[in-house]
Amino acid sequence: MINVNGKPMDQMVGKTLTDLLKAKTSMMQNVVVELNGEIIHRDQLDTKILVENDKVELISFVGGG
Amino acid sequence: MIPKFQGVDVKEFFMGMKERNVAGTTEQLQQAHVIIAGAGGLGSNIAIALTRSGVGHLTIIDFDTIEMSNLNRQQYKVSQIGLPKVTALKQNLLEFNPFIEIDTVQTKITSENIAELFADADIICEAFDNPTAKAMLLEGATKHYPDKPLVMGNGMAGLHLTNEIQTKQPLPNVYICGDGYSKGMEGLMAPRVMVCAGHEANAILRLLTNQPVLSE
Repeated sequence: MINVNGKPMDQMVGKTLTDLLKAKTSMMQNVVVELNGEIIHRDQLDTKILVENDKVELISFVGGG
Repeated sequence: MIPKFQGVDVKEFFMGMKERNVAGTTEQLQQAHVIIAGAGGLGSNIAIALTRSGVGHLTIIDFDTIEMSNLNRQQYKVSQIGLPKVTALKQNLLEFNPFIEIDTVQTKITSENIAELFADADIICEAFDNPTAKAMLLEGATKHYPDKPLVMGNGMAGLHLTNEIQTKQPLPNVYICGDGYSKGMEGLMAPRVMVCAGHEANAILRLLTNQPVLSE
């Protein structure tokens, strides 16, 4: 079990952050991933494997300014 | 001879402009350097607030020129259509406060030039329109300058409730202002853009005067 934006999420342990992002959003380019309090840069999303109890925050941006 | 500004001693004019500011803030604000990424609805309004407050050094970065469609919310004038936004904004800002230094950079911010563009900032202020650019700057700024506060805007479109625009702190040095959901495609109106710009500008002033941005 991992935690994504404060909610438990099943079946993600062993998968990559890219897998998680794809499951959560169709706008990956507008989302920044924070894993256990640290921002994970885009080029590392493919290689970061989720482990039990990971805390992920997906910071999603909307347009306008 | 004491130099004059608008027929008044320069020092007297400077002090006169500070008369209604919060006491004890002049020095801290005058020494600060804030770099604003984007000079649209957010950036132009944030820049005006920081200029009037007396932030001593602003750098404004934007690649764009002023169009008719900007005038509903961005702080430009009919006479400035076609000008680079950074040029027009600097002109306007210096009329509000001639005692600050304003640098302008007319360029597009990319992950390649972030390190160079923001090296000298005390605070980085994100004021883009484009959500991909917002994400890019959050990644880039925290990578190159994890210790510099980053103040961002996210969600201020439409005519939604005013009070849904809030300031949050998802990371120790990152502050995000906005409702988090309203999208520019639904239209952008001056008041909510100004509310969000006000959140960003006040977060910056609180940081510069060593006050926590959020209640503990």
